[in-house]
Amino acid sequence: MIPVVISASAYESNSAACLKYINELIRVRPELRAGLLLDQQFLHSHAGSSATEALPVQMVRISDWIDASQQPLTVEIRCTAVNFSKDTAVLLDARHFDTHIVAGVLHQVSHAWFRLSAWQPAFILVADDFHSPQLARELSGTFYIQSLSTSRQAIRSESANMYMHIFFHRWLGFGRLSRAARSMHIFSQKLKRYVYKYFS
Amino acid sequence: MNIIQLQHDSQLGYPARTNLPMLSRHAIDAARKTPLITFRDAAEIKPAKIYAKLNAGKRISDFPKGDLSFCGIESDSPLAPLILWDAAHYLPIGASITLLDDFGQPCFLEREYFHKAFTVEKRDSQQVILRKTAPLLAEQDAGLTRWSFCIPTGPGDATGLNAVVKRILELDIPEKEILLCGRPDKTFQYFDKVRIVGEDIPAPPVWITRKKNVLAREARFENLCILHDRVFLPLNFMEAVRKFGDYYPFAAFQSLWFDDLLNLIPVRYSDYGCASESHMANAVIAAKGNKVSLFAASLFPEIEKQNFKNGNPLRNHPGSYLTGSLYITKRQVWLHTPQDEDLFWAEFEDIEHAKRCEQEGIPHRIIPGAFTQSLFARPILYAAGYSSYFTASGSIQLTRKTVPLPARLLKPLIKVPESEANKRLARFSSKYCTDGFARFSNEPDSLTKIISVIYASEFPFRKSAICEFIDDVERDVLCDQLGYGAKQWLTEQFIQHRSHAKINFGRHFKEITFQFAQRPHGRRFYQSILDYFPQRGWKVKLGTLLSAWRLARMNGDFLYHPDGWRGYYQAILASTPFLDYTEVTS
Repeated sequence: MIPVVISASAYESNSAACLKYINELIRVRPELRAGLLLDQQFLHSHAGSSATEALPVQMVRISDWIDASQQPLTVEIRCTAVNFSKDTAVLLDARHFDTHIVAGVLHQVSHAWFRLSAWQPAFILVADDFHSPQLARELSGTFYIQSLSTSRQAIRSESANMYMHIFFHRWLGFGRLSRAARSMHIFSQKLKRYVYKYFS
Repeated sequence: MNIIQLQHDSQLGYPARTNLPMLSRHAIDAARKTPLITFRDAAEIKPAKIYAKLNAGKRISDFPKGDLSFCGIESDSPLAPLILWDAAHYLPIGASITLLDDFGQPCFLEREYFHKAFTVEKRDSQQVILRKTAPLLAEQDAGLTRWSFCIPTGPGDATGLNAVVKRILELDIPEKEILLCGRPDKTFQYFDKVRIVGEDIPAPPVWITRKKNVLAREARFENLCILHDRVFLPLNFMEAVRKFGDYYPFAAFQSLWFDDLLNLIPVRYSDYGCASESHMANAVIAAKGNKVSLFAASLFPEIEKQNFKNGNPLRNHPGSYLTGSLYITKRQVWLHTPQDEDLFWAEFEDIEHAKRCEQEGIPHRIIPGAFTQSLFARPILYAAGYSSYFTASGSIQLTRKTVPLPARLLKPLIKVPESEANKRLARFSSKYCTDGFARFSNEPDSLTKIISVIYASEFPFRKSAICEFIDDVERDVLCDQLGYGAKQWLTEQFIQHRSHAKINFGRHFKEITFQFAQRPHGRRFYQSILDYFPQRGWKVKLGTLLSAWRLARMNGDFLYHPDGWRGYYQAILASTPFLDYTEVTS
């Protein structure tokens, strides 16, 4: 399932082009897991897409998935998720809603799709231009456990920390003594960072 | 007055005779007619015989012939099942056993195993009289001269199996046969000395329960020794069994694993365990059709929480069990209580079996006087080199095996070749990381490489995908078994914290930490399978001497050998799988 966010302006100006592009993407890169953002600018730069037909979608409005106090309707979302066809993409229209409301719904969406054995080819979220970059990030984590982008140095430091824990385990066991030594080590690391931050 | 008094070994902390009630009047009256065996004192009457320092390692085989009476035996001693087992088997047919002042109903001898051999003749509030009308199953298989050695095995490098079979061939046994369940690899060198059965049993998963049952059915001789293909038997096997005596229930030797090639770091490894009863009660009986299995698969994480410990060979714990690596038993006894074929390997089939045996009246116990050694070990069974055990007094202690030795003197931690481990990590990374293994292949440090691969992995937030990811971590990254609880914890972490679970994965993933804590400087995997086998020489003898001395200092607590440090030294050397066992002899 390719997670895509379409900004409201792009969708309103040329929804067919957006859906054509997604259709093309499903054909060429079905394994894509990162949350894509299609905005007005992107549409201009990809004006001559080669896809022949627009992607058929089953549309749902976010207002159908929230109650009067703008809380996600968990049961409603789960029922819809089960009943959706697995062959057609899902389009969630979240225009005119704040990020935190959409994020709340997406959280429930991820749990609703969690137990399904098969997923649709794409999940499209249409959101206001202002919120769409943030929601693209949110959507990428809705359906996938994404890779953690950490520097090599950070990983080495993590590994060094683990070696320290391993050292404690090896020589002090895994009782209270080892835990105390680990806590002291973590505290000293924090202290070091604090000193570096405020006194360097 | 024929009173035979039993006295507990004082180090067990079981009730001393001074703490027990005095013999009742009717018990003393009973003693006038038949020999009375009891832990209790009779005021002013001296016992005719005293069995002192009784523990689970000792058997009583010289009961008086004829009718016997026991007074308060089940109420007074946790060793009662062992004593009554021996008494019932050495009792002549036609004689009776009278149990006085025991209020547990039904009594041990009324359990299923004894049903066909004993009939209840009289029962009232003070006594139960049981008469022996037929030989018991273990008696039908009397004698210690004919042995069937049964080894469930499968494909894979047969170096270990060669050593195990070579040792069995060396044993001084008048009549023996070796049965293998499953066809070993072509590297196996004794096809002409073994009989292969059960080749049609499907795998994976490893259907160890069916394999053991098939072996028992196919065995020709009355004494069964069912052992895993990594269990190296002691050279004094027969001597230890003869000393222990006939009509044994389910028995095994204590098992050692030396973490190094000098026999310096002994670890007690998979012989006799103990699971706490309170948690065992949670494992409700799950009925499957007309068969009944004690454990359902959904209960495995719960069963695992029992915090298994090494049982003490001198004690008879409730909930104690032989861990399945080695069973020495009578063929009829096994056929009466086979393993549950609804369970597979690592599904607590050994615990389920022991639990059922306990209910049916067949104890699990240890034969002292000899040790086996494991050729290979799984690090999951001794976390970071620490393992907890019951001491002779019943308290729980933690033992550590960490000794700062150079890596070249240590045995490999995981029975996987290094090249295969690298392949597995590459396969994992090409499956889960978008930029494949190339990015990580130049990382020199193994732990950093593992963390990098886990951090860079991507997969759907779907139940099946998370389970698959965890299974792949188990097989390709850890290269060792993951506990059911650990799998559950990891799944919960991913559901709750999504990508950030991977940070916890790195920091709190005990199994990885434990592996590196045991082998911080390499030797997690082997270069050659021969890395597991020590060479004969004075160094091993010296290492064995030091280990024997250390173990003898806590004799009865950690391990038990009746002959002290000399016994330890000889038993360890007699069970050490030296390198020459991997060589062929014609």
